[in-house]
Amino acid sequence: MSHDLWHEIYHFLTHEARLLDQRRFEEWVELFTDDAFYWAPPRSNRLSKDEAQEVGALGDLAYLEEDKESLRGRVKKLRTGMAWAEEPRSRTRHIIANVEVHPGNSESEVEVSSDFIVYRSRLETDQDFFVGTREDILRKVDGHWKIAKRTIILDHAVLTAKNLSIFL
Amino acid sequence: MTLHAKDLVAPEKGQVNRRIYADPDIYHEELERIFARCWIYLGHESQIPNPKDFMTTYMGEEPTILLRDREGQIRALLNMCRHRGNRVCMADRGSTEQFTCSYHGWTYDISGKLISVPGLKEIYFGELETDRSGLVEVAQLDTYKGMIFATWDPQAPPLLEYLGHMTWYLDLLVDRVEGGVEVIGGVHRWVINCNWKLAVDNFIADMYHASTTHISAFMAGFGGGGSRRGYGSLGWTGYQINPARGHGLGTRWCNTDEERLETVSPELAEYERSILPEMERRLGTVRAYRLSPVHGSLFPNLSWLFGTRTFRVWHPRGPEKTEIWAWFIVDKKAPPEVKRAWRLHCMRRFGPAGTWEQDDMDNWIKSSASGRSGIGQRYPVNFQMGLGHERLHEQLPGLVGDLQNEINNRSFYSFWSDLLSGKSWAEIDLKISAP
Repeated sequence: MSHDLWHEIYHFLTHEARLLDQRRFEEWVELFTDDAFYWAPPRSNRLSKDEAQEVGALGDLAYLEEDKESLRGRVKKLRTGMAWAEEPRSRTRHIIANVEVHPGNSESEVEVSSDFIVYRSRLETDQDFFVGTREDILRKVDGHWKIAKRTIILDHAVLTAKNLSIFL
Repeated sequence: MTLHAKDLVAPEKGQVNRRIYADPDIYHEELERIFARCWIYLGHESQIPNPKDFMTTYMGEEPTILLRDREGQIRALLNMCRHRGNRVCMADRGSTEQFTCSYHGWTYDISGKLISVPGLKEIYFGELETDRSGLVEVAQLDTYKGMIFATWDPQAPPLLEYLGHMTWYLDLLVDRVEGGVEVIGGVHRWVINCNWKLAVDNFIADMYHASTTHISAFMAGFGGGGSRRGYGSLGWTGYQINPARGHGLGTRWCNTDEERLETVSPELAEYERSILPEMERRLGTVRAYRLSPVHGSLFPNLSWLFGTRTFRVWHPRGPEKTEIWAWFIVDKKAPPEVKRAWRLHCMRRFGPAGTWEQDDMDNWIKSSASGRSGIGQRYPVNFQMGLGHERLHEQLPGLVGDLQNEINNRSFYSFWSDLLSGKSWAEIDLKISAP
């Protein structure tokens, strides 16, 4: 794993984070491949003998299970000016860390793990932290990295936020 | 404190003092007189399919273990060690032979019996009344078509009497087809700074808000049913139905079979069309073809949407806090690709990230917070929509109002008031009388 590749991926993730915090949502969606899969399963409290079931399985109810079209729809919703959950907008800060890059299934793909703390402030004093990890598959398309698959594993069993109206 | 619930709500006038959304004394009375007395929803049989399966939940604020014992019988036990009060079960769900308290090792079997106490002979001198120190069991437990309810009140009327005519409509959620429904894995859980009653106010009655609150979701392509006129249109025909005290639902009324088929989302249309003949055999023509129900709520805190199939409890967590647990409940026999499409349809609209649900939250939170306003308390909350326009319907059990109508809010607060006033079950009429 070359330093250059790691830096390339790290730059991609920090740029992605900044796009979101700057509310450049249309540009953010275009960071995804056309066949992208974006999934955030729920998490439960399980005894350690049942640890394998702690994170929701694919096919269970999840917070998010999106494709590029539905992500575009969510961005379109935000731009109507009547998406009340984001009117006024949340103020976010995506802190991305602990980035690890591994070879993917093909020459054009890499597997990336990164951890996040996303701070969200809204209205006067509403504050939330969304914390967790992302398992991504990034694919090089026409010389640019894009997100082909993102699995967001939140550390919360119960979200203490009034909604998840921002992108992670 | 002497609580004059009758001074706080005037349902016959469609008025409620907003203080009930914020007052801690009223909240504590609710815990005692509503959540400790009424039938409270616990879970669905499909969530604990096998003996020794358990899931933890709450009845009001009471932590409760819902489980199947070794013989497969469903039980509900207070999650509280009889020694010092620690929880004996810390996990959300799983399978177990027994519960051992992590504090002093008292151990209970899954019927709640205290089966082991370290040092029972040596340090308790054998004097501990172990057979009276089992996990506290609910007073009554019963099911309706897979839905499990329980109550701490031995005087509460039987479940079927409590549900009343609501069962006729509940069948459209849980008994449309052979095999009934299942709750799929996964639950949305999140906390909002809002009194639990704001959530019920919405789900029991509110067709009115959709075209305002959820407009951005419609515009972005996350529509509701398949109607060309769009969900929440003021032009739809339908009813708010109050089938029993405190319970309510809203439904479209479809004058033709074609209208009925129009109410379905495109990705589900083929499946919905295919089950109509079976629905008609099981439930009759009115329920199969004339009704396309939208929302519903059971007193006190269980609500759902019939079409989207989101199904949730509003756990009270304080006068201004509610923890929402939302599941997805679907016909067991639906093909996998239909279940998947339905699940995605549900998830992309409801849940904390739902394109509809995310926009409900501030409405409820800020309305709830108005309960703290001293000036605000001088002006009642208005539930007067359609007041006086209630009537009986030949084909629908209960009292009905137009599709946009607050009859169900008025019924909720009338029942709420009776319970908070300390009336016994014998003194409370569960049936709806004609206007």
